[in-house]
Amino acid sequence: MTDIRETRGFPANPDHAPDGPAAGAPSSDLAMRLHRDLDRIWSTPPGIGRLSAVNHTIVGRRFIVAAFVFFTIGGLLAMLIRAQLATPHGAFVGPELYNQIFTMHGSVMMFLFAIPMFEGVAIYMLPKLLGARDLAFPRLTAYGFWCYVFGGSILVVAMLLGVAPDGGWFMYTPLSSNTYSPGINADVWLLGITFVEISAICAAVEITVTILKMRAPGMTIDRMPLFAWYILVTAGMMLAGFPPLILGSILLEVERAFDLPFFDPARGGDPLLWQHLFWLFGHPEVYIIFLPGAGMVSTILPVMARREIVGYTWIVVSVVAVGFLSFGLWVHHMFTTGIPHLALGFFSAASTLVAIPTGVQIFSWLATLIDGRPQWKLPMLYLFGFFVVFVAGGLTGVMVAVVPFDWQVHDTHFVVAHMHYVLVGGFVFPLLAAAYYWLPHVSGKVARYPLGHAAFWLIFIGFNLTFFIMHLTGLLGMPRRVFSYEPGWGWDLPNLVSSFGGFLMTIGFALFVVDVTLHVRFGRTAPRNPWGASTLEWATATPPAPYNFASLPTVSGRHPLRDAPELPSDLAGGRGYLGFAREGRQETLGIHMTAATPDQVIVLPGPTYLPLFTALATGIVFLGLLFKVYWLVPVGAVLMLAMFMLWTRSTGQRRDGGPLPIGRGASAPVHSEAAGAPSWWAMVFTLVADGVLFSSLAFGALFLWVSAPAWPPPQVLDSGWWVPALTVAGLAVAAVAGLRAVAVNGSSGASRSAGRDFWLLLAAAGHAFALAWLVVLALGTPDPTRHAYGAATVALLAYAGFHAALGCVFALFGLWRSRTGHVSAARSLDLRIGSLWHGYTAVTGAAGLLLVAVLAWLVTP
Amino acid sequence: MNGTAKPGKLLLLVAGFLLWSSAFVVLYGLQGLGCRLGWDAVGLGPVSLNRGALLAAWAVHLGLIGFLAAVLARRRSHGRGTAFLDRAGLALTFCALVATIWTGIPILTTGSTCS
Ligand code: HEM
Ligand SMILES: [Cu+2]
Repeated sequence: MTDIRETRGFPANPDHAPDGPAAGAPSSDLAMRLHRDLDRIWSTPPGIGRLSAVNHTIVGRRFIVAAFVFFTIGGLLAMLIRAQLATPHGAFVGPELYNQIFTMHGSVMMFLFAIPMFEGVAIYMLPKLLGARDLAFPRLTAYGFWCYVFGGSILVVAMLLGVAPDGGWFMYTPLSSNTYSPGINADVWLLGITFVEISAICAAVEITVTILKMRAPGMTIDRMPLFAWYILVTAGMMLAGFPPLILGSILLEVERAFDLPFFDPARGGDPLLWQHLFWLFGHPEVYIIFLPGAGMVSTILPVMARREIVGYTWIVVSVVAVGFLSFGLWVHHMFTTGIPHLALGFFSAASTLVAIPTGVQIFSWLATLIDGRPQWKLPMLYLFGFFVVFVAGGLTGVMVAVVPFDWQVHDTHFVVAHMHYVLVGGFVFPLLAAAYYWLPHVSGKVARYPLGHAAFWLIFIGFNLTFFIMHLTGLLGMPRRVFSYEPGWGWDLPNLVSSFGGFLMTIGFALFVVDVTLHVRFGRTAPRNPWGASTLEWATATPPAPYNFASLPTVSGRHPLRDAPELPSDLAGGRGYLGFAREGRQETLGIHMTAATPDQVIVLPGPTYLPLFTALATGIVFLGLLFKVYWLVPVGAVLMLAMFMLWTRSTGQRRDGGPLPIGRGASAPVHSEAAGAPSWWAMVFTLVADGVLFSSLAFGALFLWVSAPAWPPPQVLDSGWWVPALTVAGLAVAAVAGLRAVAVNGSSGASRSAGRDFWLLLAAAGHAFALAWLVVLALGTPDPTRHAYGAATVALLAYAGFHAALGCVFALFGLWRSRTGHVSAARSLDLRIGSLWHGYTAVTGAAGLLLVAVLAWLVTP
Repeated sequence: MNGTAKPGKLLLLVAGFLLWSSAFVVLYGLQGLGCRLGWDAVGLGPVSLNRGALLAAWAVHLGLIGFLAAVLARRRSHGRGTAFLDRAGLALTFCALVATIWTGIPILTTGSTCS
């Protein structure tokens, strides 16, 4: 049972393996040759070629390093804040600069440190934990990285030039509207952060697909490491949580740039709409940061306690429940905005519920510790810090969830203290534990000096000094976001103590950096699997090879390394799946989602500069918007589109391969011939995120009608019924034609390819037809700058128009791929992906037009 | 443990909470909509039209989630699908049911639905 060669009755030989180790030769030579071959195929070129890296190990490491750099920047800003507040009448900075500093501190920590950091850890770790050779879309990983770094740089450069955003990290309107923030500062936030969010959406899609489709054979979802569960739920939450923020940022930027009054109460807008969209993202965001931290805890703690985690299923249930419940809380940030009591009741109820699943996780961690034989190694020390700090933060969280208490401490330093207990406790401490836990894996070394302990105590004591006292400062009434205060109100001493603690903590982090540097430079060579863990990442070499595993494992339980201690050498010897190099291709396995049997060979792209160039083209779009050089925007957009087209040149193939041997006597088709290819699923999840964006837009339009003052509008769109009907008809034709193209393509018969091409052309024509009528409708809409009604209508029409335009591109792309031989009866992936888009466009287009009509009807006197 | 479940079966894990989300959005939306349309002032038997609509929406969702839970409980006792999916799916649906009950309780409180 425990021997990998015996599970599932596969023979020990990877028979039918082209170029694979042949029977008879000494096995170590063969293994050496295999590693040399794979290394050649998977490696990234040196020197300038590094910019072409797409490998998850390299890009994941870059994400982590970049996020740490941003953490340092955010930390320095925090030190400036504490220096300023250390004494009354602090003379360091004036109010303008202070506003920029705390806004940048919050924004950097949330958007440029916390989220990219866990993305980096997930990007680096997931394939190794799951037993795959890379993530599903390596070029997308790299593209996301560049978008993140470029977007983040925009913010940092703006700060150095003294024009950083200054409206607080949640950018409330009307403060962030043109009237009160006429400068470029708010645009920097809106555009820079949206640029960065591209990477979050890319990562979320990629992570979801990878976890569902690329686990090791045999790893059914109930055998998945808990870390993967946490990250899966987190990625799902990002797909639902980020679109409202992206939409809000777009609408606010459009208001600032083109004067469409979505948030202007004088013209039918409503500042509360921003708050809704922001917190619809913002509260889940807190859990999006916490869950990966908890995932690290659930991974490391059982290893330290030398006991399997207690209640695996219950943890999964809790994590999924939190993922949903955390979306029912957003209004608790708006308790003081005068929303009806009944509505507040719904949110209050959900707020109290969300504590329960978190409690379940804490209890199962405690039970694991109590029932296990914990060892006080360094990661455990940081987990201890996590427990103390996070539980304290949870307690104050329950306090602020009670509406009357919240009224008291709202916008005081009490809230700042609570927030940091949760964020630092729930994310930074687990992250430090994970850093020490996985460092031997990343570097292949173990530390020589015990600096990590000293760093811990400095961070831990410094943190509590800073923020425990801050609760008191808040209860004494000190508001947040003020740059100065008067002496003699009892705030002097606690502030001084907080600032002192802050510097202690900073010294602790500096020591951590020194420790890691020494570790990497002078550490001793690590033994394999130094902690005695049972998860697959410790079956790779340390540091890992670019292909992770020379051959891919089969899994028969939750603890592959404990069940089969010889697994690492078996895999290195090429005795798992795909233990050979085939045609110089980067190959890994795809599985059936639930059965976890191999169902496709996924061929991954190698290093390329395209992600970098595409991100640069994306940068042109964003800089054009930022500096209001609007002719640059379409130029950048066209460049972007052209680049993305170039991405497809190396994907897919021009002939049917049929089932390929994958070693161990099994075979599977290449992914472009398989039903559920990763890119098909990627489109599904992208459309899920897109659907949330659409729903948020629809919500926004209705919300304005329900709540905004200054309605009804002076003028209403009067289009008659046949223009909208023709538009919907065009979209419906496109959707049906897309389906027909797939069906005809799959049939046999002489007119197969001609029929397919006809339907693809028809799909393109349907979109173009609809697009034309959408333009007519938009031109007929009453001046969108006069009232939010017109602005909302135009936004809905623009949404449909954007999708129709891209639908045209998708259909023509399918045609091009068909004509260039990338499509056959067996290889229909390009057409099926396009068809998803056409269907989605028809559904949301019809819903959007219906809403436009309903709005017009509702406001007609 | 048999692994024959279709990929779509993974949706059973989240179906209950998807319904909870729907309940949440519908209740919150309906409350605002009803107030905008003045349903609070319209009587419907012992309650206002607004509260009546909220009660109905709540009941429909509870019914759907309850039905789903019953189906899953049956499947589980018959041992169809995989053990983990059945158990976790049922547990999650049950949690969603409790969450929907709890979230909706404010509807039963007294006072206007719109102040
Ligand atoms: C490293 C130690 C840190 C210190 C000493 C620190 C200190 C502070 C202080 C004093 C404020 C309040 C500023 C004001 O209201 O006037 C603040 C705000 C904030 N901090 Fe931190 N912080 C630290 C780390 C973090 C981390 C790790 C995160 C997130 C992961 C974070 C997120 C925030 C946010 C979101 C705000 C709100 C900013 C705003 O009001 O717009 N901080 N921090
Ligand atoms: Cu919140």
